[in-house]
Amino acid sequence: MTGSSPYWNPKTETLSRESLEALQLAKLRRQVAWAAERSPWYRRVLGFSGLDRSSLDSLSDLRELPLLTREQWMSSQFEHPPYGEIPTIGGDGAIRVHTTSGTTGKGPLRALDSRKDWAWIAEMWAYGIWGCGVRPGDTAYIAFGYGSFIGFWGLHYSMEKIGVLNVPGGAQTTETRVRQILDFDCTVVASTPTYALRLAQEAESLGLDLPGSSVSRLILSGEPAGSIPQTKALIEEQWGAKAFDTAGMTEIGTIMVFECEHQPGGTHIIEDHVYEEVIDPVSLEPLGYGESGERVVTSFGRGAIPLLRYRTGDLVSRVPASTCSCGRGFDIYEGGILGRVDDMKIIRGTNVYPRAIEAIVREFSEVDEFQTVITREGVRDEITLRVELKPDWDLERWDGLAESLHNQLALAHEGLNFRIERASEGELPRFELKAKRTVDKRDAPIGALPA
Amino acid sequence: MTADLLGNPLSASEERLLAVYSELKALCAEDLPPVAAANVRAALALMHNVVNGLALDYEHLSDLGV
Repeated sequence: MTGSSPYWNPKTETLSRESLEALQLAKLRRQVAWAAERSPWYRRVLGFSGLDRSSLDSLSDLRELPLLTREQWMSSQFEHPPYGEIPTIGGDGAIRVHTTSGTTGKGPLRALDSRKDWAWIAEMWAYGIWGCGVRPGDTAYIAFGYGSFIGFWGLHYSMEKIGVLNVPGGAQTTETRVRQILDFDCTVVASTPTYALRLAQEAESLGLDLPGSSVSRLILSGEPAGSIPQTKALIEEQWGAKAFDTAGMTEIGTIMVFECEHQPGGTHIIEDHVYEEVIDPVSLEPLGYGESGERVVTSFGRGAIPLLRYRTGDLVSRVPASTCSCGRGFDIYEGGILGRVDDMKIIRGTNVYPRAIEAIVREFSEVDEFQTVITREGVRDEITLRVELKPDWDLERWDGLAESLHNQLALAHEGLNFRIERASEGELPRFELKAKRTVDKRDAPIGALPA
Repeated sequence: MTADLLGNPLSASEERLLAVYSELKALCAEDLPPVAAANVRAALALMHNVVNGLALDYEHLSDLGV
């Protein structure tokens, strides 16, 4: 069974919906009781809501509990430093602390893990990497900085657990990483989607043959792009390998969804370890299959941070497990994480999503990198796509390319006029972790606006 | 314990796995030398994945330092 099972955990991955929900309810009751007993935050919140393990007759009863927001978590951390009131243990009961990137300027979230929680974090990754076909005997290259950001840490330990030979790619230049992938004859590479493209660009510029290498699988995480079909196709073409999307978050500590080997156009939710709701971000009402809304997670994993009804800000659309032919009972987020609830931009009344722009731009193989810049000129908003072309591309074809990009973007955005600008070689930023390709200057101080 | 979290009877191997888990928990309460105390806790953290994953038991272990 060990090597032949397509499932990491056949017992739970193939449960019926009824049994899966029964298991979730059993775990939920215990997690609620644990949180009420040990977490000062949840003792107060659960006490106020009147919810306890005995009043949980069904999963939907959990809706009695107020949603937890990142802002509340941050406030708690600020008021009760360094970890806030949500954790059930202090630093002396933990073995690790990881942080979010803190790029919002509000400081990072600090997440504690006990020995057991950290072992669980690697376990969750095992569902994903086993599910996409990684096996003992593989050699994995993990193109990740190994810092305080939790990123691929769990994946590293998961690879070790499975029996994969790991090549940790921390503190290396992109060129060194590409060379190591080939030198070690790696069969699996883990990175963000953006960095997978960056590695491929580097290999091409060095004259190295990635499609001819031993790499057969890419494990992608950290950005929605892993499930944007056009981006995924480009990555698979440049690597000559299959790309599998996963998604996680520091607040959970690990991944909660993964794409299986059948590549159903979405990611399975690891439902024996998390209970996921999709809600309307405005009315907060639950949404049904096929409706896009905000992902709310309750995790059964961490005991140090018993996360109940956490608003993730992720935009998702849930579809039944039967959408995939792999036999798992785990439902699917169609298209993976579609974006962030708050990343939609409104330009002169038209909704613009970064994901939709990327899907169009990635159709153009001439484009090496891009950036979307939104400005306010007088009372009028403008949107500009800045495009960096591949180094050896014939510039005489620029006008035709710009026109095609302009037309396709307008067609997808109710005729909205995108300005198309050519950026010089190496001008646009490259990213190793989460890419930030949208720059909205409308809220910038007046002095910072372009002339 | 004779049934898993779904009420299904335990298989013979599940019973043995649960027994190993219980024994590791019991050992955590013993006064062991560092070489044993730390490695038993590390083993228990991994064994928790087995019993939790197979829906045999579900709990947190911070009181045992795990």
